Amino acid sequence: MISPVLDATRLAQRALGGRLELSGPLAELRRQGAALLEAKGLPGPRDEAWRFTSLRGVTDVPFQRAKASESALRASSTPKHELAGAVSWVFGEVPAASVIQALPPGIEFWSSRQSGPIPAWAKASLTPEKSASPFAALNACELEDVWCFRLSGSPAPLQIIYPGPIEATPSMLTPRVRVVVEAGAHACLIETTTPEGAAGPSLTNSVSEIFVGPNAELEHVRISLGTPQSRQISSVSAELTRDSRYRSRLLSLGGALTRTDLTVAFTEPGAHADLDGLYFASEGEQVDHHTVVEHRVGRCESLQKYKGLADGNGQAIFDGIVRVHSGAAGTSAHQQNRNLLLAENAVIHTKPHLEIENDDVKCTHGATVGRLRLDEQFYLQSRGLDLETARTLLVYAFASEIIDGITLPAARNLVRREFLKKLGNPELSAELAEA
Amino acid sequence: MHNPMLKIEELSASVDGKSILRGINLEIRAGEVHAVMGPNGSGKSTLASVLAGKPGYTITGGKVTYQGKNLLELAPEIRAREGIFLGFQYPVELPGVSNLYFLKAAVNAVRKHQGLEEYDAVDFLELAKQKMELVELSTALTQRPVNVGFSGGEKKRNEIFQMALLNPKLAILDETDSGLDIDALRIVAQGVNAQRSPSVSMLLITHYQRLLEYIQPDYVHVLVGGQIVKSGDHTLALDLEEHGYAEFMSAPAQVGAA
Repeated sequence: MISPVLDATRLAQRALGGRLELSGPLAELRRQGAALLEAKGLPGPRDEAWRFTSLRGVTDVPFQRAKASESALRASSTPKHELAGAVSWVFGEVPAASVIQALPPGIEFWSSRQSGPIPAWAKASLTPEKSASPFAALNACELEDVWCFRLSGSPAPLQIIYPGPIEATPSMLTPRVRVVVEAGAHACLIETTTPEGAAGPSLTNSVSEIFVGPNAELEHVRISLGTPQSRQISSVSAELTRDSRYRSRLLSLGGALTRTDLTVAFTEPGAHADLDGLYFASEGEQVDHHTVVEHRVGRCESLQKYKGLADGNGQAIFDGIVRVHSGAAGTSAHQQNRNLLLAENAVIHTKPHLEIENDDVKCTHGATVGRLRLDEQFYLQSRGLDLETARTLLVYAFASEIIDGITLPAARNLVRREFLKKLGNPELSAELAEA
Repeated sequence: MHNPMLKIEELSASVDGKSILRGINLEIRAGEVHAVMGPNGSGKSTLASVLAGKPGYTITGGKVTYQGKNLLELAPEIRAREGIFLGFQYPVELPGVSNLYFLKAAVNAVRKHQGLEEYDAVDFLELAKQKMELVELSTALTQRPVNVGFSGGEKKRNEIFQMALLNPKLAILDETDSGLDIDALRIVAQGVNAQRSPSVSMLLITHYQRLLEYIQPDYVHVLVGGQIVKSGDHTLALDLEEHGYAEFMSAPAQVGAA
């Protein structure tokens, strides 16, 4: 029997009642997810963290687990958002053993579908998180596979692509990935969610866990693209150990709903997190970024810079918390959120906040919401550019700080192209890139 | 030239209901350089802005004819494509957009409008190199994002560089001398002077006479209270330097002819 809605209790009961396999490596994750889901259910407008975000199109749709998205995609052609020079894998069916063995130096892979012993470095991926959010719990409960990567030395950039489901009926994908960056490694991870191949309404409910080892460095780029029928909810967490450096770039450039919860936790001193975000809600779109930065230990630095745009009747939300725990002396934490409203009916919510329990800290935060300035438009028009080009360049200028902050050129170019495509001016991207 | 490049007749304009220009009359023929001087708040920058089509001003009377066309009904970008250039007092910064890309787009928009062939990247770079020498801008600076991290002097030199590339018929320079040290002023003036020709007209808006030591105008007009109260040749600027605007300020501004 198909339930009329995405019913948390029913899903949880199905899992607990033995409909899902509760033995094997994923058993604990599933059990915990189901228990959390049964206890708390899915969020609604009364939940503080979901106050501004409508879950219409998510919790009132009978999503079923998607099938075979990847094999269909493989059969069609190379995914178009594959980055040159990167190891690009499409999340889904586990690649053949020969493909896994052919991975370049510094990249190791393990999937919970593989037989044999679980490597020690991958074990943490199977340990449930007690305080998982409702959607992370749903992901655990509906899980079919966990992918783990271990990056060491200076490996080639790793790209994981989450395609859209091919089913015409409402379908749900629940990718779960853990990436471990070994001590001293310099690595780059790109996650790309694309609607490519999606036929009907889709929900991609993903969990990404990142562990950055001592003195290691990771650039983590997440590019979310979408269609009017696609919805994405992502739970991203990163644990940063001694003297590590983590650069997160979250780019939300389309889809009916793009919700990302990013949690960054400093667990050892000396680490640095540089967290950038760019989001753009057009007509009919909601984008929602929630960030939590946990300064649990001292002498760590976090820099957050989020820039948002809303056009048409689009709605964009930024909600960021920086928590400095009592023992975290010598913390430096800065949070900045700047927004641009491009239309009368567009909506921006911004809620930056700090919770500080230690006096020996340097913390700042700030938020702005503005519009394109007429005097700036006029400057460009006075050089002969039409109003539309002038506005495109000004919007691009606003966003470029974040786009140019992506270190990997192939990822930067993809983001620039998608951003300008969204602005209705894709031909500009090549010229701006070459300049 | 028989017809003037620009003819301003009884031009009045207001901002937020406040009357700023009160019946300006001015004629500029091809090849002439006119300077408009005046104290702060006299309407100098408003005049420049209104001529270039900046939004936010209400034209309350009069007309402006540019090369036989009714200028005030043209969109700002059309005025630019028809050959009007405004050098800004505070040029805008454009992060992420290189100067050269921006200028190529601008120059090609103008050329397209004028029925000329658009430049490709190679030809444009060649042209840009010639013009950047004129204002002593380095290649590195021209490839950086538009005005980002530029000093005040570099921004003004960049304005004159843009002017040289856009090749205007009427250049309006709004307080181009403000905030410049003596070296930057010399370079800016040298760039402007190199573009003087029998077919190019210029309107220099300035508070001080200093700029006019380097760019000698054919005519000087004194703007006070939104009206031109006196006109003369370049020696008028020297008088103003010596005596200030006091003599014009004391007399109540006449109301423009009805």
